[in-house]
Amino acid sequence: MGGTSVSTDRPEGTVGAKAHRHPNYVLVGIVLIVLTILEVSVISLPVPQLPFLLGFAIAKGLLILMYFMHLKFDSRLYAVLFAYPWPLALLLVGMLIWVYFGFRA
Amino acid sequence: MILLTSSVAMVLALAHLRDGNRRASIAWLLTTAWLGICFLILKAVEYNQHLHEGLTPSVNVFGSAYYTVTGFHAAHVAVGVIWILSVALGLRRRLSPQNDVLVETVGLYWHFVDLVWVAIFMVVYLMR
Repeated sequence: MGGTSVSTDRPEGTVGAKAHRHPNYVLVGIVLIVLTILEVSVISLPVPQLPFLLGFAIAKGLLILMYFMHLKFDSRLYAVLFAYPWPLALLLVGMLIWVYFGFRA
Repeated sequence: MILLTSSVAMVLALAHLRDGNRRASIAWLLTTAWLGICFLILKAVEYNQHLHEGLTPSVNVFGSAYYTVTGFHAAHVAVGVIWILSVALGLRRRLSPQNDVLVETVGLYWHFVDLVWVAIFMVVYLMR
C-alpha cells in the first residue's frame, strides 16, 4: 500500500467517491505518531500550550479525516456537509461561554 | 498511539480488500480488533489505578467528567471491536472488492472513534 497500487473501479454500493490511488497510509500513520510525540512534548516546554495543542490536534484530525476517512477523495458534497456545522458549533460554544461569564459577572 | 495505529490497520484492511486480497484484509481487520482490545485493557488498568488513588466519578467535577467522557468513548471502542470481529470472522465469505461497503462502514466508525479520541486525549490528558 505504498502509493504504487491502484484501486479497482469503484464498486457498486459506495457513493460519491472517485477511483484513486491508495495514499501511503503507513506514512500518514507515522506522521500522526510523530505529531502525537510532539503534542506530548509540548506540555513540558515553557511555551504557551493551548495554541500548540490545538494546532497538533487539528492537524491530526484533518489527516484522519482526509486520508483514513477519505474525505479528500470523496464528493465535495461530503466536505461541505462536514464543514457547515462547525461555524454553528463554534457560535453555540461562544454563546455558552458568553452566557456563563455573563452570569458570573 | 494504539488507536492511531489501529486506524492504519483498518485503512489497510479496506485497501487490501479493494485490491482483491481478502486474506490480508481479514488479517488487518483482526489486527485492528486486537489493538482495540489492547486499548480497552490499558483503559481498565488506568481506571483501576485512578480508583485506588481516590479519583472516583463522585469525588469532584473532573472525576465525573473524566469517567463519563472516557467511559463513553471506551464503550464505543468495545462496540467497534465487536463489529470488526463480526465482519472479519462472521462475514468473511461475503467480503469481496464488489462488497467492500461492510469494511468501509465499520472503518468509518472506527476512524471516527479515533478522531474523537484525538480531542479527548488533548482535553483530558494534556491541557492544564
